[in-house]
Amino acid sequence: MDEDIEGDVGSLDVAALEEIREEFLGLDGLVDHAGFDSLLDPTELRIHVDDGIGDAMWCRFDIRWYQTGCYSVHHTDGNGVDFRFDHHPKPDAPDRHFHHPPDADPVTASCIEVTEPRLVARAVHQLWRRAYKTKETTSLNTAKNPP
Amino acid sequence: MTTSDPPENLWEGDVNETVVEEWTDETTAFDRVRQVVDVTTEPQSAVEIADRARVSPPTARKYLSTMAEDGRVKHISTDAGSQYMRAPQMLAMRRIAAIHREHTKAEIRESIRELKEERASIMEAHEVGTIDELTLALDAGDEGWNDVARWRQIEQNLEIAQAALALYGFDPDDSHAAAVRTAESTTERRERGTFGDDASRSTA
Repeated sequence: MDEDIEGDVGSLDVAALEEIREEFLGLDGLVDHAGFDSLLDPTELRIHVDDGIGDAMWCRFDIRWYQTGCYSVHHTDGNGVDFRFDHHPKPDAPDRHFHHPPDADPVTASCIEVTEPRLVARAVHQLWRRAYKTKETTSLNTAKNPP
Repeated sequence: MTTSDPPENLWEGDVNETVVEEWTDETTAFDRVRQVVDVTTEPQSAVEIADRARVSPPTARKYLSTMAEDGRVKHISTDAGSQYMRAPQMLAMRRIAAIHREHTKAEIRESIRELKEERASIMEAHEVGTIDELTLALDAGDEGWNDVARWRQIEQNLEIAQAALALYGFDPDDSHAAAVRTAESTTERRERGTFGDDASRSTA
C-alpha cells in the first residue's frame, strides 16, 4: 500500500470509479481489462494495459477516488516504473500533486487541473499516451504539448 | 461501449483544455449532465452542475428535473432555490445487485464477519468508539487518516453486504418453486439469487 493520505477524504466513490473504468475502456484498445479488486470490499480500480512505456511489456493504473473529489492514480509497469497523479491533503505539497517516476518521488504540483473523474481519466490517459509514444517519462507532468 | 484504436496524434496545447473539448465533442448535453450528477455527493444548484457539465443552466435544469422524476437524482428545495445530487439508493442498488449476482450467501456472511473484525481492530488501536471520535483525535499529517478512510469504507461495505444478504429472502415471484420445476440442478441458481440472470455487469 502506497497511501499517503494525510486528511479526511471521505469514502471511496465506486460510482466515480465506474465512470473512470468506462472512460479507459473506451479510450484505448491497449486496455486489456479493468475492474475492482473486490465487489464486497472494493479498495481500488485496476486498469490493466497490454503494453508499457519503453520496453515495459505491460502497465497498470491503480485508481482510488473519494467522495470529496480526492483521488490517487498510481501507474506501475513491468519495469517497476512508478508515478502518481494525486489530489488529497498533503501538508508538505499542493493538494493536487505529482509523484515523479521512477520511484514516485519527488513530489511537485500536478499539471492536471480538471476535476471531474472522466476528465481526470482522459488527462492521465493523454499524458501516459505521450510518454508511451515518445518512450520517455520526463514530460509526464507537463500539460503543454509539444512540451 | 466502444473501444477505439489507440489515438494516432498527440494533443496540441494544454491537456486540460483538450480533454474538455474531446469530452464535449463525444457526448450529448444529457450524457454530461447525467455523468456529472452521478458523481455529485453534496447538493448543488443547476447553475453549478451546468458549469461542470459544460451545458447552459436551462438545459441542466431541464435534464435534472427529468432525472429527479426517474429517481436517479435527488431534488432538494432550499430557500436559495433547487439543489440536486445523485440519489444514493441508485448506487447502492447497483452494488447490491452485483454482489448478489456474483457471490453466495456464505461468501457474503464471511465478508461481513471480516469487515466487523477489522473495524474492531481499528477501534481498539485508536481507543475510540466512533469515526467522529477518531477524526477529532487526529491532526493534519497524522498516519491515522488512512484508518478514517478505511473505517468509512468498512461501514459502507457492511451496509451494502447486509442489504445483499437480505435479498436472499426476497422472492415475490416464488422463483425457487419455479426453478425446482424447470431446472435439473437448481442449487446453484438458488444460491446466486434473484439477479442471477441479469445481463448487465458492473465490473469485469
